[in-house]
Amino acid sequence: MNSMVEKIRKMFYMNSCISVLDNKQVLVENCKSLLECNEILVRIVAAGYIVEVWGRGLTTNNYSSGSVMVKGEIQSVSVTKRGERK
Amino acid sequence: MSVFGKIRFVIKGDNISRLLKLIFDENITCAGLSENSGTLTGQCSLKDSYPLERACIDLDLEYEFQEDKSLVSAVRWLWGRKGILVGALVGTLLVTFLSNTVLKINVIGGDEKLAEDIVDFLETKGVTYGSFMPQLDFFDLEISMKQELDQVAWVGMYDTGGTLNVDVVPATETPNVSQHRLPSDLVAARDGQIVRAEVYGGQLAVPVGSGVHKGQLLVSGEVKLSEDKTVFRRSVGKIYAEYTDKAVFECPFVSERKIVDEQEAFKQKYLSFFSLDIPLFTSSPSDELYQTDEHISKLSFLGMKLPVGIKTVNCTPYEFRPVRYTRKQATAEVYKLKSNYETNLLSDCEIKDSEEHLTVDETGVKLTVSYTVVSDIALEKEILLK
Repeated sequence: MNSMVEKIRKMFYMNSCISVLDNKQVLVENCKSLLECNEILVRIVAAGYIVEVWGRGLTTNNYSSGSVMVKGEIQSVSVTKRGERK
Repeated sequence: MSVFGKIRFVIKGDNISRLLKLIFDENITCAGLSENSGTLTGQCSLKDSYPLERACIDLDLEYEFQEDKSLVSAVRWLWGRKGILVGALVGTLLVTFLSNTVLKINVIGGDEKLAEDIVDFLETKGVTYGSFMPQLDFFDLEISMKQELDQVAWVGMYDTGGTLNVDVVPATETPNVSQHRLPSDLVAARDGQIVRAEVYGGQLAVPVGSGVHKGQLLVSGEVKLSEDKTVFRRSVGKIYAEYTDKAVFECPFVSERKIVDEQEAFKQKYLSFFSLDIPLFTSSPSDELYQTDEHISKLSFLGMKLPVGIKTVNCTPYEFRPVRYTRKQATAEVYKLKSNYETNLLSDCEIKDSEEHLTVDETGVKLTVSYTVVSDIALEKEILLK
């Protein structure tokens, strides 16, 4: 069932796309909401996942709907399936 | 500086997370979002600041918006200072108007008299101070100036800003040449008796002492040198004849006379702006008759006279009033008329004798004078040859 849902998501481009540029920028496309955005942590709700961007001096820009660009000194990007977070 | 405006905001409160959700849900485009100890800072466009402000109010958040300099904010700033806008607009219009208007006519070449003649000529063609420069047909004006002004040999016209330049090459002065070179006769201008003749050219056709009629040949230009040789010359001379001239002078006892009231004279001032005269007075004059005398003092800038100035009109009221003369005054008046007539019209004549006849009736005094005068009656008449 889960693989079926994954296939449909892939077919209709509903997956989240995360692009990391060096340690300066992270672009998360196809996301739903911004949960938190402080200087060290940005939490983004993407399709089925929560993307956490850790770093220093982080700022968030949402130039177009459904996408978020995080700028600053990126230290790590973690992706956690929603509902499985410990 | 952005075009449409940018807002820097600082939002404080407990519901920052909900605000972030709202920003995302309502597609409020933000940049540089950063939360620190319950304070959200960032930037957004001026357009997006309104829903953001509404969201802050809904979520009971403290907010502080600071607008960056932008074209929109500059326009808004200017809109609050309409004087600057109006001044700039008026200035632009004025510069555009003045750079397309004849402010000065500069005649290059020739003397002052020629310059005045050219300015007068241009005025007759409708080109004066204040004329709209693009409407002037320089080619047409140049041709008509060359045709109608004898003292102009060549002319070129061009404009530089508000100055109309007329570049002229004056015609070389030709020596005075007598126009009377054709053979001519001298004929009598009126009836009379010849008393004296001075003939410098031609042949006297009537003897001194004889009477002549108007149009009769006095001196002939056809001179017979021999039986088979005749030459034609210009007749020159003075033929004096005695004749009578009758003049009647009348002065009615009651007549209208122009009375000028100098004491009631007043001045009216106008602001002269190009060809426009704007009155600088509010009271309108009565329906009286005035004799007027104008004087314009124009403003000058760096030695150049501007087409703006103050026009002063001196108005002196006058009226025609019936004047009643006594018989003595009327008689004096007719003799005054007689004296004027002799001074002005018979000054070239020698008055040999005059016979006066004064009649007085109920309407006025009438003086009839018969002059016996001697004057030159010769009139030149060209001989038409085949």
